[in-house]
Amino acid sequence: MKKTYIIFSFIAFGIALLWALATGRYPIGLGDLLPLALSSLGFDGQVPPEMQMVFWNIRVPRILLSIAVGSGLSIAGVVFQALFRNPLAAPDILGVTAGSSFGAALAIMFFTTFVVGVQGFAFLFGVFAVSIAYFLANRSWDRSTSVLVISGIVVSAVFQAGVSILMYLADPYDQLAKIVFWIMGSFHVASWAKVQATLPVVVIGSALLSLFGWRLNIMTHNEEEALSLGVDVFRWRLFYLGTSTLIVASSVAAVGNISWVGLIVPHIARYLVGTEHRRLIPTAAFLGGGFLLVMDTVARTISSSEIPISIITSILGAPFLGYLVIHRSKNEALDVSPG
Amino acid sequence: MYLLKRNRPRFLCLVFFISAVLAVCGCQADREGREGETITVVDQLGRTVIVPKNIRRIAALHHFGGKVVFALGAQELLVDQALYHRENQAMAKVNPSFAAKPKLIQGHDLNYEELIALRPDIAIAYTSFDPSDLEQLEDAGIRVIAIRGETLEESYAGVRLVAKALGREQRGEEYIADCRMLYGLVKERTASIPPEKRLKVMFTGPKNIYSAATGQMLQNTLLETAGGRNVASSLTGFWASVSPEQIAAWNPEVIFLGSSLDSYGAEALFGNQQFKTVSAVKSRRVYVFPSNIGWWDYPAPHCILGLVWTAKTLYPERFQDVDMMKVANEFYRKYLGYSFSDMGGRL
Repeated sequence: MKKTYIIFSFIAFGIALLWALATGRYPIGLGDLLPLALSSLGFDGQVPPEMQMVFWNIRVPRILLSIAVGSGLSIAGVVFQALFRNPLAAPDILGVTAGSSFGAALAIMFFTTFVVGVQGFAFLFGVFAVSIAYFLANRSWDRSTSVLVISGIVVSAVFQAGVSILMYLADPYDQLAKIVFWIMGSFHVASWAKVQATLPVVVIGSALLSLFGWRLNIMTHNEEEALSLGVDVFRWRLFYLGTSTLIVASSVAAVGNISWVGLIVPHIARYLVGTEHRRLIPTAAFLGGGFLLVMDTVARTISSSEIPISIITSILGAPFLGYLVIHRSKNEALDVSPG
Repeated sequence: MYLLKRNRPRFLCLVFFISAVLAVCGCQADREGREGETITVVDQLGRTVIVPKNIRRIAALHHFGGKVVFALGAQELLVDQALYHRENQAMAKVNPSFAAKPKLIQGHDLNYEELIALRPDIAIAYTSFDPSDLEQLEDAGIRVIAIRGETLEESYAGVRLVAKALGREQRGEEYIADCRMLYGLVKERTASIPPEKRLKVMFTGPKNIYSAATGQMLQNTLLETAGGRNVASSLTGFWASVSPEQIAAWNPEVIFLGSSLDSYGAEALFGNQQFKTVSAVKSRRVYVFPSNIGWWDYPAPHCILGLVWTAKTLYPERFQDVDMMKVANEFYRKYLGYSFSDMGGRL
């Protein structure tokens, strides 16, 4: 039964991918995909060069980026919910989004000519914010995750205030508009450069997390239990937090803040395959990638003007979570620890 | 004492009667006295506003109002730095008395307390302001006129309104006539361009390169009047976000950039893989919309300079005799007090 769900999520992902490849505002349909593939392999597929360029430079990188970000945020969501033993823990709980937003706003206002640019600043500040939250919590005598949550809230608040200060000082005509737009998040900006910067981090990070997924099963118990099983909880916690923070920071840096995905997809995945993390992580990856891919394809095709992606993920995602909450049976879906 | 006590009711009546008469007379006298000293205008929110005739202190709460006050030659009466961000900075550099004025607008917020402390006779607001804020100012004794400049005609009405309140109608008409003259110049030369020869233009917005001026915006009027076809004219709203594929499908022949930051700047666009197929990029017809010291695409009627620039940029052969720098310098000198190049303006 659970195996069929894994296969199901894989097939759903494949269909989503095919649909995304064959739809868009530029007329490239299902029938053009084979000639396009042939042309790129060196055969004469008789495809106009404009079509090739639009397909390979606009559509494909955007699809790759939305899959990478969707998978990355979902896996990070699974990890965070397990570590914090809390079904409401989203990947930005330690301040990564606030930090990235601050970095992006800073770059938009003062450092647009820098090589690392907005994306680099957003990434660095996202990681920086989480590090502060981590070291802050480490100074406390209480080593439980709730202290980590509190220091995450503190760091988020400070960086959000920083963003507000920058927005207050920004040129209202263009700088302010850019900051607001960046924070809302969007996949317009998808390019091969962004794919190159994001995909490796997400793939390597996800592979590591899947590989050590079995440890997460123990981490969902409280510290004493885990310690009594001979697991160095604190070192492993740093590993999971560090890896998933890198994934989230690189995703947020590439496309801005995408709400709900990291919170909701882990729940759907858990509903389908249960809380055993070796199964859960790959399922969440495929579901999340497919979910965000479908949402972004809707955002970019439904009208000539684009719809902000976070609106769609919230409108379609949040009610679905509500449905799951109502229809779950006992010990299903919302419970994060296996068994 | 006894008398007073006995006749108390009568005495009180007398006092009341006398004070009532005095009050009525006083009101009458006051009203008559001010009749010749006030001007009544109906602002663009439809509110009737009575303003004193001899206005000495003006607060402009939006840069449209600020520009109009400058155009009417009343900038000395301004109590605040009433232009827009970069324009403010450029003006402050050349005009020390302007630089010394406080800034009321920061971002999209307005410091109401400081505004009231400046004790202006009138405040010029924009029609998009919250009505309860305007009421608050009226309660504090400041007369508020709300104006609007989303289309050329609307902005002319706004200019006339402020001109009437300041008693500078003639100057207002002169300003409008100059704007109409420039509009006519462009219209006359572009009207004969056949529809199939009109260039397809995209005007990108300030938030990023993937946003376009819609059919509802003033920029649409500028493009159409200058003889172009706005690729996004069927869209509605304010700076619509569009996907890179949509831009490739529209394939504009000319792109005007509404900003010069970040992914912007013509050079960044030429290197952007997503724009490789767009003919404006192929033929390198991508231009940052002027100017570096304040935008020319908004608000009306100041945007008339942007109209002349757009037309000359799209069809240089039709406007060979028009020296943009000269037009801008004259317009700025006349309606902002300093020439465009003196303020540090570049094209």
